[in-house]
Amino acid sequence: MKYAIIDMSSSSISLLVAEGEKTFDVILRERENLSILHYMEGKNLSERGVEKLAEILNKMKDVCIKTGVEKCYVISTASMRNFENFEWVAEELKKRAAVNVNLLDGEEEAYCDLVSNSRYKVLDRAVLIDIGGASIELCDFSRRKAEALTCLDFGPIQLNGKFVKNIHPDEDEAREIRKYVKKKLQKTGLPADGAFSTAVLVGVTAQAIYDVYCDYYDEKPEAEKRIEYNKLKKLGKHLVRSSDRSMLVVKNAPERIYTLTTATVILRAMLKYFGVSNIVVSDFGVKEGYLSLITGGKRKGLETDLSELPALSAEAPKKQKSEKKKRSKNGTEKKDSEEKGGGGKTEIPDKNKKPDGENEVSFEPETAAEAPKKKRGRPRKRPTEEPEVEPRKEV
Amino acid sequence: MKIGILTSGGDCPGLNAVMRAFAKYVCSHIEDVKIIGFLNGYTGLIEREYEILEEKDFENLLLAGGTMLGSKRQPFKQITVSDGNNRSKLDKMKETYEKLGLDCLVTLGGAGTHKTAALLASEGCKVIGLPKTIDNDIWGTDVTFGFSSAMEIATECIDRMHSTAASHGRIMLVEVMGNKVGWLTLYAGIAGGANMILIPEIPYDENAVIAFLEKRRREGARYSIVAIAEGAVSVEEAKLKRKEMAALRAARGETTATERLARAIEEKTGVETRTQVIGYLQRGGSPNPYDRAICTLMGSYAGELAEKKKFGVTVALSGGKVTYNSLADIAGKTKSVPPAHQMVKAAKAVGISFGESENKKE
Repeated sequence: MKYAIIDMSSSSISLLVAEGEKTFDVILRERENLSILHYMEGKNLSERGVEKLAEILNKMKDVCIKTGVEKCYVISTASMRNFENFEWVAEELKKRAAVNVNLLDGEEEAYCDLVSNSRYKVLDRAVLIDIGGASIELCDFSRRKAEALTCLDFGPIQLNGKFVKNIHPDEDEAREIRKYVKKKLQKTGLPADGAFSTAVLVGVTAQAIYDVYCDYYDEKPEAEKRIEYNKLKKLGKHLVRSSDRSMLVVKNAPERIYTLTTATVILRAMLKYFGVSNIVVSDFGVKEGYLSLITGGKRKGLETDLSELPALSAEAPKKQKSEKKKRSKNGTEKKDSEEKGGGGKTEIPDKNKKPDGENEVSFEPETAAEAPKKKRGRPRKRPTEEPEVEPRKEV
Repeated sequence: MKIGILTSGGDCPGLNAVMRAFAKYVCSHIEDVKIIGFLNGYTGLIEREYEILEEKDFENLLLAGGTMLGSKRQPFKQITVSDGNNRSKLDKMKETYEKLGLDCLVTLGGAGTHKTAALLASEGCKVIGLPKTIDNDIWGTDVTFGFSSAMEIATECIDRMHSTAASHGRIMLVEVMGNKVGWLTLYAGIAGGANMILIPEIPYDENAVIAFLEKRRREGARYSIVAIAEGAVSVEEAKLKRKEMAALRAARGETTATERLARAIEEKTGVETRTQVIGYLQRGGSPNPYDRAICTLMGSYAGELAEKKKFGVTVALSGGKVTYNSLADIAGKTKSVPPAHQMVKAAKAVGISFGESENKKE
């Protein structure tokens, strides 16, 4: 059977079409950039933003139909949860693109990352890091299920708002960001220096950093994507100091012009904190993990009926501003997650091995209803609480 | 509010009309607005060459072709190259922006201009883009200003070819601007009644081109018109990298395929074949009524974006409405003609050939 997962993040909408049951052959991947920040009006997604989302979703649905997809799921995480008017947005997307959006919280997202990257659990002392736009998910592969996940409720977007006056942090601002990240990591109780030897980087941000890294060092992207820490450190300094940094970002990841430097600073701080020596960039992310969970019956998702046409009228009702952001059972902030993959210097799981089905994943909850609990550490702030960091400055 | 404005890249009809609409909007909607016009595109921003403009400076511009600010090309790849003093053009532009205390910079330009605009935005400048190109290849907008006027000019040129081609029983190749994309050639070719349209997105098979023209002759057609884009490539050339192809053509002393194809056609068909390069006529003159209207729409909308302090975006026409896209999302992306586009299908349906071999066609 052919499945499609469409993931809406803060910087892009991506499509995965795969065929199979417990293991999958990827048929195609597509991605279209959409910098959600530019379509915000305060904390609401604007009419234009909804138009863009619907336009791209309709295009991707067309691709699904042409590819013979039989089951399609649309997922989203922080990019939708962070809208105060996300109920209205979801309704409008239902009307304009005939899609049902499955909102995932940070834990679910991290869990999907884990499921799709379970092959890395054979690595000695590996940690998964997914830096999203508005949150960071960490997973200690050596721990059991519920204790493995840590979600940090900040990402480059918030730290830009809190510390960065312009677009790229200067040296002082980068130093403050590193201090902040270190403090946050200390509060999580995650083991520090030396506890991990390998970091598995997941998500679009990781991939963007890798692309910039390859361009900067004039290296060809490889099937097994590796980053050297010292080279990453040097790249980080270049992005902070150099006048041609914007060119690097615009060439390789233009949708991340506002966040890539800060993301690199955050990543460097984390890798230093953990004392990681091997860094790999994974090809697999939330979509693959979600697909595995859905097809394995561990998650029930709202399917999008590809044969259903959007409502004829595109007239938007008044935007509903919820008094509190209504939380689905999920609640954390989204991260952009994507698929990319890589290997490290030590024994690397077979890259060609397809993502494991559910029964090969050790982080599965006992029941489908059991949500993976957060690791001990500073409790994640619920979105209804006052955010710890200031909202992003208007650009 | 201090607003800088510049026109960059190749000129086109409508630039002045857009600036007029923008200036009229901001002057009537924003208090204490100052407009600074940078001369010759990004060069003016780099060299700090500008004029302070008032609303009256924008009068009588609706019908005026060209750009009152002048325009120059500044290759994107050179923007961050350091000069002898360790400063790049981007550094200088940023410095000008800061030293003049600009609150906003409006850039009218094509794909390259938008990439540089995205660079400036990522360095903290508040930028609003406007999509100018006769090629209509800017991502995210259904149409760019200048396209319609250029199409009208190209169409008239093709129209005029019919009588002279018919008089002499010739095959006429009319070269239309469009180095990378074929929108202008496609639309002008259809509108001008061309029998064959050759565009960069659909590499042509020389044998198929000749076979089609011969078939027309056998069926009684006294003449044929071929609309060929500057950037049209043969199937063989399409296999090469861009630089390789350019080098090959340079070695032959040619920049486009038009002359070579015309010679091949004449040689193989025995029919007199001539070429006509429309060239810069497509860029010149007054914008047509449609362009005047959409220039007014887009220019005033850009003013509205400035008033609302909505930056890092570029104006677009989408689904018949004026709107905007994020600069970051469109920078570096080109809107090419999809080979299955409805206009291509319509053209084929009425018997227009795209120079494809029978095997390539469905």
